[in-house]
Amino acid sequence: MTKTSTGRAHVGPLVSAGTVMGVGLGGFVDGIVLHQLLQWHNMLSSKIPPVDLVTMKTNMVWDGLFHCLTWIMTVVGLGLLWRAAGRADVPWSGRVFVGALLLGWGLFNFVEGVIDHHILGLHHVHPGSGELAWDLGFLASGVLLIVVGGLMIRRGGVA
Amino acid sequence: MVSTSVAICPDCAPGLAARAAIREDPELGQVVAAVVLPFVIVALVAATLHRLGRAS
Repeated sequence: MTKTSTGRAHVGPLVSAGTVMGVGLGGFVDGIVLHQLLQWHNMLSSKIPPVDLVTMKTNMVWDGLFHCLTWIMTVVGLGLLWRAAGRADVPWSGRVFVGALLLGWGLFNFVEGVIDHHILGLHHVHPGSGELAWDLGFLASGVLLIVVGGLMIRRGGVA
Repeated sequence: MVSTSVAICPDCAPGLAARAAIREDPELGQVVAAVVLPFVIVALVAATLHRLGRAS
């Protein structure tokens, strides 16, 4: 399974590529599904509630910045994957890569949830009654994805 | 049909008002930092994973 030139495997490049891509793609899921399709929240919807066209357009600008960042993470992850593919010491494992994608998605949900939902209060997953439960559920989804991704990386690695 | 006497976006009144509101927001820098911060943190985590996976 390993393709090594020195006898030592180096999974780091594949894991970091998958993690960064997972952050970007997970961010796109959030932005596309929760911001646009369901319209549960927008980036600053707790600070500037989108109740008319002006406040909606203001939130759309901040959603745009958010999507710029998820796009950049995805492209950087793709670049890291391209570099990892050219290295003889990086084991090319689909399980490790998919695990890293899930790990990145989970990291995004957890970190974004803690910072934006709980610390800064920029927005909530589903504002209104029960918003704390929705926010905690979002954090839990992050933890679950991190655990599943971590297990896949561990089992698919070169141990 | 939209009346041609009404400015259409991006130069419509709501568009101009939204851009002005963003420009004049006294917390603009803090908001940008808040949107960027989670991505910086996860990038640092990914860099750490890269180093930890150097010799598995």
